[in-house]
Amino acid sequence: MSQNHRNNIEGVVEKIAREHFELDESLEKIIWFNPDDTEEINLLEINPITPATGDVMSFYFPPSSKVPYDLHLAEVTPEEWQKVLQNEIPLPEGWDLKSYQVLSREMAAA
Amino acid sequence: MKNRRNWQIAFLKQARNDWAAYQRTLHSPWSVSDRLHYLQMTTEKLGKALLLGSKMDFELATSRHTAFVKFLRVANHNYNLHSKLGLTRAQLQLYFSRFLPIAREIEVLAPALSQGGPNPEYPWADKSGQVYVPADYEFPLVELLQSPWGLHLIKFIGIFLVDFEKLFLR
Repeated sequence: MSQNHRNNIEGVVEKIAREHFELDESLEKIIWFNPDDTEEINLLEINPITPATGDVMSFYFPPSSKVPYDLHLAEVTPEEWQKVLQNEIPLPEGWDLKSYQVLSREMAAA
Repeated sequence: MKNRRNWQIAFLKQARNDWAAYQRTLHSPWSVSDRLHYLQMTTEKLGKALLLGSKMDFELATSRHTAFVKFLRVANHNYNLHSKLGLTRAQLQLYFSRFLPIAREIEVLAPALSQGGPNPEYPWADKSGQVYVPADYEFPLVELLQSPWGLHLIKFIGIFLVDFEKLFLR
């Protein structure tokens, strides 16, 4: 993996995170799964006002001019996130609890 | 091994078929329950087609009735949709936040989610024992669908279905 690729995808994720926190005051944090992956972005948003469904429904958005990567996006409640951490709710295929980064509102604003 | 893309397209085609049926029910002599039934089925299958584009477990993705509302909660992050509609993310966010209560009402029409209450498919009884027939029932959702945000939501559902390949497939 080149450092350039890494910087690019990191910059895109930071931009997405900043925008999402700006748009949604209730968004608590964003979990970036597999941050070493330079081909796609997997984000799980923790938001208390999303309907609790007991699973992680992720949606795919193809690359665009603004986000030139495959984007997989899901949203769960904080309680559901705790269950994910306890392996009670499965993650989408390939999302790895051993490899994630937490993006907070403070970090995104910095 | 299941070919997710084939399944995704299959759900999309069936959603389009249900959408065409919904359009036909807008005219008499169809009942309101027929109309809502096809609308609910359209959004459920559209939701499943969307989930199948992700990496969610196949069995989970194809058995969920609640994907459409979840999708609307994150759909404003689809940049291709911004370009298609010529709207900013904040504008889309506004649309989708207004759609959510209406979409939720559509979603809970599914008998599996209606908790023994109003649904467009099967008769139900209230606490007093009075039995209701879907074909005769005046669904409050109809009024919501005729509101400006309801009409916008219907328009968006049409766009999602017509432009699915451009918006949601690589």
